[in-house]
Amino acid sequence: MNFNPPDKVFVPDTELSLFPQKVNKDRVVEEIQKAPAPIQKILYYFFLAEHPDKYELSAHLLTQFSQNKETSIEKINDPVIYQILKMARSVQRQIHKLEGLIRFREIGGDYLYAAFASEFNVVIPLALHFAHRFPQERFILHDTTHKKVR
Amino acid sequence: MFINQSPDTIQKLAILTKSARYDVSCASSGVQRKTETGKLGYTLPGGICHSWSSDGRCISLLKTLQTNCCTNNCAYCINRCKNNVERTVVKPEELAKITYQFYRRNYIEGLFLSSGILGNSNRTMELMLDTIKILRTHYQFNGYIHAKILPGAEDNAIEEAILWADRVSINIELPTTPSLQLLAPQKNFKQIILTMKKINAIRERLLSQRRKQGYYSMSGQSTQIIIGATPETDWQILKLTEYLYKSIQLKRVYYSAYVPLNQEPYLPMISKPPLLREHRLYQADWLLRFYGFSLNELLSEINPKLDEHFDPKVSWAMRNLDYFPVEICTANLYQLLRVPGIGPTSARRILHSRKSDIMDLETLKKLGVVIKRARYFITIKGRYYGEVKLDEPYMLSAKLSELDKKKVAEERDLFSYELQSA
Repeated sequence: MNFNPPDKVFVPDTELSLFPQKVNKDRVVEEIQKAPAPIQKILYYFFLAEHPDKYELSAHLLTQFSQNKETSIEKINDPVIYQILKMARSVQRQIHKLEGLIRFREIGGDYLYAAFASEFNVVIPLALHFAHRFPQERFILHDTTHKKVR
Repeated sequence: MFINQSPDTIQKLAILTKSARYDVSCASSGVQRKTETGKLGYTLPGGICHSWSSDGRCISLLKTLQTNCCTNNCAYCINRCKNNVERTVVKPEELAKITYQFYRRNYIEGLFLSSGILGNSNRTMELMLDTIKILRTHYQFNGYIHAKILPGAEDNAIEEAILWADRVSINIELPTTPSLQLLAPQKNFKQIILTMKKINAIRERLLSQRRKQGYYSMSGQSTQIIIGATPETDWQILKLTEYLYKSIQLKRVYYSAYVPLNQEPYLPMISKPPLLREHRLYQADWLLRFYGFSLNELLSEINPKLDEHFDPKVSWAMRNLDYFPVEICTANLYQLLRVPGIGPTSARRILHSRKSDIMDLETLKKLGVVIKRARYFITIKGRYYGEVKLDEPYMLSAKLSELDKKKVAEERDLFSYELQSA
């Protein structure tokens, strides 16, 4: 038997038909704000992956979570939740890797500068990490993929 | 002896980091410290790798010596006094400054500071402690520091090191007294063990007083054992390891495959370091610490060698087939941890997930279980998924060795790196 995971997790129509195709984004954000901290954390990282259906998928997760009265999100047998967890983990892994591999160099005006290319939009968590680490330093983080600077 | 006295710190550091690379005990994990106002840096419990060496080891700390001058003549060591290598001493101010500069550019997670012995242990320890204190007080450095305790250091030097560093270590180097006498005649096995105990005692006293502001080596102490320079068996090495973990509460024992650097009649004639053996020892070490195995289950005096072809957990499973299959839906944590392909994380996930989810191979895979290995040792609701049965040990062994062939080939490949000229 071969158990290769599918390249893309297929979301059955029946699962999604529980919700309108386009969810109300503000509503989702409100729900996320009310959710417990561990869920917020997962969704935070998941949003950084910038999935085109991030609001729909998050709405599904939140509904499943409240319906099942689960205490943990490790409800892995749901394909959508599995996909969200997997992406959140990839984002976390990338942040951790970049925390180690980013190198600063001194530029004029007493600034430290580092450029990096990342698959996900992780410049904010990285900026937080370095701001904590070097509270006295002035630094510029430049994400060349997303063309973002912090 | 040629002593490089150039004012160029980078040149000195090039010599000293080259001399320090044979010490493998340099993780940056084990301490969580948050940012403090006015200070530079913090530490994370998991550590951060900043680079990887050609043989796959993580590089996290600036690993260097204060000096590679040494009065000792340990046969295995590149820096022994008999060797004609370029020597130098780095001043505490210089080393502190460069560590600070590397840290703020995010090249390193902290400093690993060891040293050869210049004059005597206490004088050298003083230099090392100066470096650390300048970093901590002048540069307000709050990152990770690992300080080596030199054999023969006095109590107050040990106390200072504990106070300012995140981890301290004294290297045991060789696993028995006769081996140490033969290869490192200036070192004393009993003395090293006593120093380890002393470190614990001093640390406990400091922690109970908690008067001065300090770091108290919260990540505990570690040590290093050289593998393959002397004829000790895996059983003897792990027996010592077990003692160090249980009786001296060491946090980590590092195994360093012997790298043939010097020519001596009593050194083994090998061309490559025994890295696969080192790897197997680490696997066994993990089984002792995180999987609830005892040493007697893995090895014995009669069977003192770890199998090179199978990892120690598969070896144990093959010898104890009557323990299997383990039923995923009812087994406890301890039983799950015995299954090859299930680790502490996946075992805990199974315990949680099986309350609400339907268990099948697909689910186990998602939980992180290595199915191709685990399938031969488990049942899920009574169903067995292996292609060969457990009562056919010969077939099972063939199947697993086929599975492991690729892995061992990869491991061999990874561990057969070319020896760089010292």
